[in-house]
Amino acid sequence: MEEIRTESDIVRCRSLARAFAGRLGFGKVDQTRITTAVSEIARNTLVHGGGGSMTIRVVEGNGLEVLFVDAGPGIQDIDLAMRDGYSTAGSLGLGLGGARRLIDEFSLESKVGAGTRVTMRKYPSKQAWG
Amino acid sequence: MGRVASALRLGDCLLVTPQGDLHDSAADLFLEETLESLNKARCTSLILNMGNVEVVDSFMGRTIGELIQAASLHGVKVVVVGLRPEVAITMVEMNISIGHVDTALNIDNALNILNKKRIRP
Repeated sequence: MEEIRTESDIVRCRSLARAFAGRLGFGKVDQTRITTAVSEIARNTLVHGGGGSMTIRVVEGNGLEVLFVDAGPGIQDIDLAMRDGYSTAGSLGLGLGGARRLIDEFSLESKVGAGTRVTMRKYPSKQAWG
Repeated sequence: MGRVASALRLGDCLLVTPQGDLHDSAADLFLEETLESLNKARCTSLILNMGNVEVVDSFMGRTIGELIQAASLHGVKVVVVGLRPEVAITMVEMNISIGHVDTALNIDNALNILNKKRIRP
């Protein structure tokens, strides 16, 4: 379990996720997808969640699971939060929608006043080019 | 600039290379220092070399977009080069846009683009 308390913790989470994904045999593109999704959610955990933790583990199917937990204010409107984060139209900009598209299984539980849990899973795909 | 990116002057063009992945405050610093360097050197063009960047998330994407926009407003022609394929794919999938900007595979091609766009007397 990794603590997310500072910006350099986000950097560390990215490196750990990439290394873990590499060891599990994910290709370069998937490694980048995973690392980018981790970067987004780790930032949310720090900036919106007031800090929290990340846990990475292997799951059935040789997949990678990343879990983020914080005890922050929680997300009031989850649907709104899941809309494309990167936008000039004044959206919440949480990057959740984007991260979700990079991942195979994505779940978000949040309770206002209690905190947020984000679970992401990615499974290795067959290589098109050997 | 040396801490987060390297900058090289090529005539009136500034070639800037972010060094590796920039976390948030480093990205902000990169934005400020690049704009300042452009201003000081009175460059008319900027080549943004993304060859060393392994991850572009929404924050970095937004920062790069801002840099391109601010430079353009300043009358600086911008070309982005060297974006890694896996980074480009991820940006598209995340719907991260850096706005309309010319791109090139490498610095040579970028210079060709810039030369073509130069107003000839």
